[in-house]
Amino acid sequence: MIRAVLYWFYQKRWLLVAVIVGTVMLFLPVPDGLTLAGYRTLAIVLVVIILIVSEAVPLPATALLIAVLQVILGIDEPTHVAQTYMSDSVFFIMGSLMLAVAVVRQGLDARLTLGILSLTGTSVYRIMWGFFIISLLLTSFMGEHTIVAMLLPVALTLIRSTPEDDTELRNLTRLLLFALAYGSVLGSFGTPSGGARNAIMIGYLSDFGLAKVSYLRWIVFAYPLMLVQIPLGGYILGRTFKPEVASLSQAVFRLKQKVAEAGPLTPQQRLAVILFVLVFLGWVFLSDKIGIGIVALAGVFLYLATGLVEWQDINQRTNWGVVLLYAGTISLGIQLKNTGAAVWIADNFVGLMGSLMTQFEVVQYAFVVIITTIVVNIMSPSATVAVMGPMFMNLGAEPLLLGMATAVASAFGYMTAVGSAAGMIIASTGYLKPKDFLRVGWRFALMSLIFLMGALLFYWPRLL
Amino acid sequence: MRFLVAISSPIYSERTLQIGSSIAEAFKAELSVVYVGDRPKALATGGVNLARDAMLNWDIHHPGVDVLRWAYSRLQEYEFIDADAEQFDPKDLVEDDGRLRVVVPHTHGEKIRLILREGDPVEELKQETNIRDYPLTIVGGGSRKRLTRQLIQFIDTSLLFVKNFDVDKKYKLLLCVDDSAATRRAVMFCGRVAQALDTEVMLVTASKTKGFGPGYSKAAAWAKRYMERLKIAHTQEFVTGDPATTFVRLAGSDHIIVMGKSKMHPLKAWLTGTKPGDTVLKADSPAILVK
Repeated sequence: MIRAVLYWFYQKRWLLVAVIVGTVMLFLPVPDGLTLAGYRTLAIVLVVIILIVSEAVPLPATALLIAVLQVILGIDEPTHVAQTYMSDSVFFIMGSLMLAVAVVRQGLDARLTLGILSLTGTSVYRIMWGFFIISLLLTSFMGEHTIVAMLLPVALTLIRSTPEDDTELRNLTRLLLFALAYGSVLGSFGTPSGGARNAIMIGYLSDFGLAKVSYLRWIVFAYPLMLVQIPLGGYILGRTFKPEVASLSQAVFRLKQKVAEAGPLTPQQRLAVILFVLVFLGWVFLSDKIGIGIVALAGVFLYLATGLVEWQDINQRTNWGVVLLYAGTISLGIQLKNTGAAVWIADNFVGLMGSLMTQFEVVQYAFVVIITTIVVNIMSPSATVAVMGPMFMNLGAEPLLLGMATAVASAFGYMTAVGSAAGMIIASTGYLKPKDFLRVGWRFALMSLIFLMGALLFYWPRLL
Repeated sequence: MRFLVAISSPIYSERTLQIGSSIAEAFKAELSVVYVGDRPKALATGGVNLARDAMLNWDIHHPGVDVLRWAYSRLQEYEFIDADAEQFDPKDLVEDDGRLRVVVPHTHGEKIRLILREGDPVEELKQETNIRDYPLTIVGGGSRKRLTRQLIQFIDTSLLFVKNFDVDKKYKLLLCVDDSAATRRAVMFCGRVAQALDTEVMLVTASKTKGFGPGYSKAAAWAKRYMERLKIAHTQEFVTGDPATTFVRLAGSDHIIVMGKSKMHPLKAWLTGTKPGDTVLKADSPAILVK
């Protein structure tokens, strides 16, 4: 009996930690300057962070708990809590996850492979650059997991088709997998549709009345910052993982043979590409008027209506729990703002840092960028933006710049597998160890931090 | 009888599989090989599953399937299963009792089971041992303090920690005898292992104080009689000192240590660890903990 109880404690230890932390917080006195509702919202934030990071309960359960606690603790009315759960950002998250399933199911990976290999030839470094740049460019419009899911099998097939034993080609494997993943991670902040967190930030900026950021305006802000990192990013990859072989001629030959079996583009595949181009055009030209999420949902409708994908496929392969969780964290972000907790935290951060923080905006930027980078390597990017965005936008400097900095820095989850969807996907192949992420990740993180600080100081202010 | 062998990757699991198949062969037991891999974070499962679906179209399977394929071929090399048995087919992956199982060719389907799990190793092994009645679970390592303690605490089957196992070495058995209730089972289990491996046994009773209480003396005498009855070559030692250190010193690197589970209260064991747990952690050789 005691062993069973101990085992239960072992399994649920983080849930217990969350309960204890939440309960203790509720019994502590409310700090000066903070409302009771704001304090209770902060208690929920802490509990939710513990539950998300530890996965002590299923993620959808955490999402439900957010709503339940908001009402039970008297933070808001049930109807308003329900309203905060659904927004255009949530539509976008839902739509982009469904679009990913629809696109991946089209079998376009073979065509993409031929395209990349015809550009790169057989040199390992050229192939690495090909993966890095193509995944970066495509991800900026289509989202991380769509592109990584499509290109990962290609990279692994190349590695496995080499005449050498693939266990002897550790660096080649790391080089190609990280080129694919980090290309996608870098690309994910290029446009609003590159990642859910971008849409969340646009939603916050708009809902809190701080700024209007259209699809094109985001590109003007973020795309140059993304492009400028390509040369150094590729260089870092090549220097960190020196491949054991210089050419993949046999592997490329075998791969081309395999891909050739797929034949030319089918009419369905052409239609799938056309539909995605339409979705992209919708994001560029219509998202201002009808919302980025509605465009994504319209795209899903078109894929379903034309029979390119079955609802059953979408239903089975879309992680609805993630949609619910993001809806919950966005709701929590809104409550942080509405209850004044976000402003209180921001003021206290500023107070803690002393006059440096108020006198120099650069200190605020550095603070936001570094803290976001650290947190995102522990928690997920979107949850990081959803919870921390409302706090950081109140630090005192231009909210648009602070918001953009938070969203962009939330892509810098290079140092751990959990820091990004792409990282998690390549880690799931079993070829990589956590130290591989650290080995190359800190270099990428440093590079991206420097470039982002450069943009914050010298480029973005000109766009205001 | 069916034993459970837990493996992680070819690099770290070669010895575990080797000793697992040897002991199973000696006991004429069947073998379940379970691979426990990392579970992707829940936030990324959608993307990971999407990628895995796409990889299947390119004949690239779950990394665990490759490890199980490797294990299958190794078991053929060790002649645990026939070399001319049908080939392992990763497509024959079925969901079974909440985990994935590779259905191996039917002639060997019962002798060998290949199971794929993802998640916390302790929780997954506990679930696996709840599904079937395994008398022995064979795991690698035994050097990671927290994991070793958790396995000893929560896994209900006997445990063999494969530590520094050398397949070319002829191991003797070092049986730790004390007044705990589990000593009796340990003696019987040790007798069976000694017969199966055709090796001799060193019976060791260690006391922290100079004298040996009646419980210790009775247990030692019974263990000796049991070995004599089974006609197993054995020696007997009574040693004073810290039990864990003594067992480890006497075992050296050429004995497999056999111990019964601790009589300590579970809560105290959880907080402070146990004598068998300390022995496993300090040992330079494999150790069997009999429950």
